[in-house]
This record gives sequence, structure tokens and C-alpha cells, in this order.
Amino acid sequence: MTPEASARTLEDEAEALEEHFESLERQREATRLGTWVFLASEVLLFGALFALYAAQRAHYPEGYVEGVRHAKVIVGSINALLLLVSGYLAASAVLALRADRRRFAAALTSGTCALGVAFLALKGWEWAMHVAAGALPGGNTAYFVEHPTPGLASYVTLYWIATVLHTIHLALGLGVMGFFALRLWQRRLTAVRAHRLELGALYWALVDCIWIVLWPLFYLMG
Amino acid sequence: MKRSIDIGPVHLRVVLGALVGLWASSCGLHYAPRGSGGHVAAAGAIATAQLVLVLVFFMELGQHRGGLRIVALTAPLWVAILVLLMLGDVWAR
Repeated sequence: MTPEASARTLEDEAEALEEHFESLERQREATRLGTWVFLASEVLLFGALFALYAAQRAHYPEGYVEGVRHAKVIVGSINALLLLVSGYLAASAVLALRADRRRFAAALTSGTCALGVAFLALKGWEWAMHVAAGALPGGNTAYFVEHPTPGLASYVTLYWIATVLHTIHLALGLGVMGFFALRLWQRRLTAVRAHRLELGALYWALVDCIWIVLWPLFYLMG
Repeated sequence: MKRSIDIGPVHLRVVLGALVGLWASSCGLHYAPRGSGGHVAAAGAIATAQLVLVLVFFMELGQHRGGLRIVALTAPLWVAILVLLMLGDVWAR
């Protein structure tokens, strides 16, 4: 490293360090812990839905099997693959930025966002198909007269609540990762501040984890 | 910071391969002939394996301090207890 680059890194580090932390490492650990506590609270939010799903499925097994039979398995599966690959890109972007490969990190973060947008587009299309079929929450449409299986309305209602809630989280994650991609392209996020991108990638991985659970529950476990 | 595993790009590529393999297994399982409950258990096991890979490698849980791991694992533990208690309630009625 040239003396100029070394001086610039020291300057960056001094600028990145908040006054109430004694070192950057302490600051990174504290922000990491805070983010994990936040992610744990998000898991509890979805946990209530998982518990409700378990109880309703145990009560109405036929309705849930029927619901999964009507699910758009291919769309849900492609979305699962998109999120797995986007999680890999986000984690790789963090490694790239730590290694001071800013442009590569920017490309990987942008790739993460592109896959997130593809997920949203597919999800929107899937929802449109359900709306057209009348598979809406509450069980008050003609769809439920045509398919009077007990518990199907419960499955459809939970499907909408869980997927809408997940999509809201994904959209927020997209905003966060998009912001970081922009900062990276603008050269305003450097290796010294790689932990900020790490926090965004952690949130993105949580969105990924939630879909890993929702996908078999609503699309595969027939 | 105590580091137990140094995750590099090669690890991430291998993990992505494993995740895609598990994804394909899940898809294949959906179209396989159904057994009584075994299908659901297998799908659950595959999802759990995927979650562990994402947590350990993409979220770097293996690299961090014990306190952080406790925070990360407590929430799923509470959720598991909640689900088990609700299922116990349904089956006991």
C-alpha cells in the first residue's frame, strides 16, 4: 500500500468511528449484535404465523393439502432459487468489499437487487393469478363455493398474510441493498465501512431464510 | 473478534452448490409418490439443512462470539417451543 493510500485508509477509519466507541472493531461488534437482536424479533413475528399454520394444518389437513395442490409450485420454486442465489451474491459482495474490491462488490450488490426485483415481478404475477381465480383471504368468493374443502379458506388467508408480509420485508431489503449498491458505485462505501453492507446482507439473508420456510409450507407439503 | 471459520469465496460457491442441490431435491420430492407423513418430514429436513447453511455461511454465524450465537439461536428456539405447544394443544382436544 502506498503512503497516500495508507493515509487515506487511516483518515477513513477515523471518520467511520463514532465517538462513543473506543475502536472500529467494537463498533462493528455492537452494530452486528444490534442487527441480530432486530433479526431475532423478526423471526418471532413470523414465528406466530408458523405456529398458526401448524395449528390450522393439524386441524384441517385436507384443506391444506387442497391448498398446496392449487399453489403455483413452479413460480414459488423459481422464487426460492432466485433468493438462494441472491443471498449468495449478497454474502459474496461483503467478502469483496472487505478485500477492497469495491467495483466487484457494487456489481454483486446490484445483482442481488436485480434478483430481488425478479422475485417481486414473479410474486406480483402469481398474486394476479390468485386474484383472477378468486382465491382471496376470508373465503367469501365463488372460488370457495367451487372448492368447499374445510380449511381451504384458512390456507388461502394464511398464504396471503405470510406472502404479503414476506414481500414487504423483501421490498425493504431491496431498498437497503439498492442504497448500498448506489453508495458503492458512487465510491462512498469503502472497505473500512464494509460492516454496513454486512448488516444489509444479514437482513437479506433473513428474507431468504423466511422464504426457505414458507416455500415448503405453502407450495410443497401437499 | 474470535474467528473459528474463515469463510472465503470458494466456501460460498460450494455452499451455493449445496443449496441448489437441496432446492432441486425439494422440487423432486414434491413430484415424487406420496408416503404417509414421510414427504412432509423430508421437506422439513431439507428446509432445515438449507437454513443451517445460510446461517453458518451467508450470515457468518460460525465466525462470531458466543453471545451473538445465543441471540441468533434463541428466537428459533422460542418459535419451535411455540409451534410444539400449539400442536400439543390441537392434538389434546
